[in-house]
Amino acid sequence: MPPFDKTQVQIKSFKLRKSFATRKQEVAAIRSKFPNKIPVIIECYEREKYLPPLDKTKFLVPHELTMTQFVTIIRNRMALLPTQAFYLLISNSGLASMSLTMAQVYREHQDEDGFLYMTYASQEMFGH
Amino acid sequence: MEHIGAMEGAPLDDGSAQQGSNICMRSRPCSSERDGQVRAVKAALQSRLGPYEPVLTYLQSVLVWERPLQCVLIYTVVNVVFWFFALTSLRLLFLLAFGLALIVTVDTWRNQIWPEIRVRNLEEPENESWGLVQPGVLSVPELCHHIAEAWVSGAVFTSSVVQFKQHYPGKFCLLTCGVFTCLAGVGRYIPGLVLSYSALWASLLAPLGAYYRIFQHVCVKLDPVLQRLDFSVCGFMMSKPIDNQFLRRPLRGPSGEDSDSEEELAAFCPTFDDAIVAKELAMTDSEHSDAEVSYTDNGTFNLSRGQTPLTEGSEDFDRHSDAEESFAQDLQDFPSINPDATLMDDDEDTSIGLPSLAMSGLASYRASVMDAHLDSDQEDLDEELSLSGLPPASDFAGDLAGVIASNMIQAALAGALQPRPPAPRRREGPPRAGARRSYRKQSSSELDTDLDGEDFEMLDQSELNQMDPLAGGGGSRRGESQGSNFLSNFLGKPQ
Repeated sequence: MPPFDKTQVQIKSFKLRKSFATRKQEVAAIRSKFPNKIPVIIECYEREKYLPPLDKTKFLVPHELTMTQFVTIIRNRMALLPTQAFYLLISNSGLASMSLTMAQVYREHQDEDGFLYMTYASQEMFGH
Repeated sequence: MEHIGAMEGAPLDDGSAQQGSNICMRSRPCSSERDGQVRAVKAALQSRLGPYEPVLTYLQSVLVWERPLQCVLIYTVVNVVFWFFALTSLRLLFLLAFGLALIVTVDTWRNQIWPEIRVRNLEEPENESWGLVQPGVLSVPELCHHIAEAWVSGAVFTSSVVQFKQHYPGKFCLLTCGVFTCLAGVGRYIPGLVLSYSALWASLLAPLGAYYRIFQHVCVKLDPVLQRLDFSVCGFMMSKPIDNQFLRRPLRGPSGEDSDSEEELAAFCPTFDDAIVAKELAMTDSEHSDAEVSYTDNGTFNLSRGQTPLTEGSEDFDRHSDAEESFAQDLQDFPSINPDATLMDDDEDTSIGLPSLAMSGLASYRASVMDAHLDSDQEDLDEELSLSGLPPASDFAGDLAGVIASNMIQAALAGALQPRPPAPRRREGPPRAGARRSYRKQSSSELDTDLDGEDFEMLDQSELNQMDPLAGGGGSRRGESQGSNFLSNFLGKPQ
């Protein structure tokens, strides 16, 4: 896949790129393949200026991982400096408690298609 | 080499797309050239290894014994392969040629034939792979980062060795001969099979060691032993107490960011030349009387206005000095790191508010600022006192000290505005008038910030210049001060 495509699809969000049926099918496939992992979509906030893009959008996350660990792993993945702020906002409901496990977060905030949608930003956003 | 060159060529678009955001990435403190190289190699590796993330994650988790069964399996396979190559009767050339032929065939199959004949997978129209999140295991970008770091370090080392060879051929020859002689000695006495087998096991166990931080643990364990050795060797000769040994140890090390060694602390303390100190002391003595005179002038001025009798003010000062003395007594209980630095600190701390010492402090400020004019300051001080009303008696001395300090700052600011070489320590006629004028301009607008004057104690010229927009409070003055900065830089800093 040429990188040009990659940057282009990065602009549109995952939900806009794929139809509901496709997404649902994808979740079913991956959950049957990895029953102990949660499918998570992590996207950049559209007006984000400071944080680098993630190399992947779809992530498979173990159930027992806490939000803290998850944020740390994502931060490491993006090679962020310790001084850089990073917020992970869950679907449309804002920040989750950092002590929750991914299974709990998934139970509460999973989308209708079965994915868990997250947005990352360097600042907390109001009215998003 | 070709391989890497191709890899670097491939992801150019990707790199340029990430460039803007990568400015704020981890390797910022490094040199930018190396940083750029690392980034390029990392992007190349990432575009290569990205699709294999599940495999890599799985391999890592196997190698760190998270899946013991698979781990045992992989160890067995590796051993079988090793011993096959070690004990086989096949010739080396045959193995090499056969292996290369196999690799080329597989490569052709994967890249040319398979994409033609395979059925399009409808479930994944775009091959956007999943990222695997697993705690304790490096993700592909991190892995790529480490590999890229290692690669660039290797490249830098090679280039420096090549440079070394070009500049010092003789030394290079001697050095390489020495190294290779050592290796030859090792190879002469230890069979190659043992060496390669141990290398194999080392590379198999290295991820495990890195995962459990064996190296760091060993270092932590070994450190006391080494220190004891150090003690036993040096300690007998130098007869130092053991805690001193511990204190002195980080001093010798080249690094140690959080160590409070004397050298690092000395970097934060102003350096004092003996001659300068003597000069300033002499100036302090000479100007002491002058300051006191103006001080009493101030007092009489207040008396004439009928606001503060001199006696009351002096009482206040005495009370304040008592408090200062008790404070100064307690100061000695603070831990002191550097005897010289402590002495200096003591000197300066006690000079905060004490009237007599304050004058010496004032004089030293003046010596450092070199443009402070006490008489004009005093007049302005009185203006301010009359404008702002009389502060409560207990706070009077403190406020006065603050006001004096702020006056000093303002006078210095005014002096900094004068575009002239600030060489002389003594006052001069014309700049003094100019300083006073520009100071007058500010003084009315500065009343509310005067209370903050107490915070500014250890100011020197450069700090004042930095602080200028804050204290001056005018956007228009910024340019002027910068101009004067430039001028003073251009003409040469004082001393």
